[in-house]
Amino acid sequence: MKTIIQIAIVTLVYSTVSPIFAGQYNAILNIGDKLPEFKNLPSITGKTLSSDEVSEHILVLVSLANHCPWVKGMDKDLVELSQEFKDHSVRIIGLSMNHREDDILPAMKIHAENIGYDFDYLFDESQQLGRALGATRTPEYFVFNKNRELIYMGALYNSPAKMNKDGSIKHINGEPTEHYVKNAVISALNNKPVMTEETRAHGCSVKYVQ
Amino acid sequence: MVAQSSMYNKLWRFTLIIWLIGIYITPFSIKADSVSPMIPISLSQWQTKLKDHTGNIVVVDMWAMWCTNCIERFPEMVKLHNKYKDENVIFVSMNLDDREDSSSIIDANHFLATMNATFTHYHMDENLMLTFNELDLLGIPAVLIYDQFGNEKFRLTGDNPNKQFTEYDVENAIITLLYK
Repeated sequence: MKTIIQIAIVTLVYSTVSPIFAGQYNAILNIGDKLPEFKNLPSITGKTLSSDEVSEHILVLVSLANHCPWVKGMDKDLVELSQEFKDHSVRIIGLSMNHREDDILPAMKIHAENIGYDFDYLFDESQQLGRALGATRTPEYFVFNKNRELIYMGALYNSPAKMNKDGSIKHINGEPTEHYVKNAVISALNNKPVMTEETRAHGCSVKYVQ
Repeated sequence: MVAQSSMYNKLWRFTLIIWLIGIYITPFSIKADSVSPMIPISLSQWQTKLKDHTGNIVVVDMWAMWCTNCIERFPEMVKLHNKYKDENVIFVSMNLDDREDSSSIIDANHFLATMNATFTHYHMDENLMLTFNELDLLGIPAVLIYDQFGNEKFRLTGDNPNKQFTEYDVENAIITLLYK
């Protein structure tokens, strides 16, 4: 009984002084958690998409923002990723949550066309999916397996890229050497465990309506 | 005639000295009310710098030119600085633009001048990912508030979608430390 009380006190103290985070770098979601459901989110295609319509084995969700230089910096690599897995049972879905004029649906369509996004790019106007994912930065990746359990979240690779004012792209630490999302997808396709499950996403902050 | 020439010489020297003193003093007298450019600082220097302010409440605004939310929020910091600058509250901005992106550094200094932000501004002269790791930051804007003993007491961030900080949170934190 004494031990139980001690554990309870320690738990209480810990919960009051420590930030409560689900994952290492995510306040809401942790590895192994289920995909938050989403319903009828409008896509740049003119249609809507719900989570139960996604039939592919692997689902990659990525939070994006057209205005963000860190998104612009990796846009080309995101399209390459999509191309790389187009013949596999992998679905990539972009997600925009900000309410800025240059981040909402009409601007999303233009951005996707200019960059060559060949996947659904959804507008989460209510920000419900973004909140459920704990997505606070753009770009931030979430990879779910065929059971729709989270197997990776964080950055695309180990050297985030930013587009400068002159249009040039610069990776913080030179050319990436570890491709976290790609590796997670390959592992999941081969039913193997993911080596790196969580990393610190680097990018612009999502502006949530309070 | 000689005496008159000597007098002119003395007057000329006196005028020159006054003028030179004026040139020397003017920048310092202007500095009190003007915006100083960002000072490059390393991570280790930053820790020392924080200790220099022991005895004061220190409010640190982490920002960058690439962070539009930071730019939008910056006027709130200027407003709070003007409100609390006479109450032992020191405001500091820490810019996290890429140290190799000279164009952004120039823009940042220009922005600070436009904001008339008359507090001290630093620019983190380190690798950006290392900085985020070492300062344990997920994103910016972030406001870190230290008490009079140099302890970090408040960390206001956007890390939780359901608990994003506002100007009122910053002010409440200052008030809590001022009047605890």
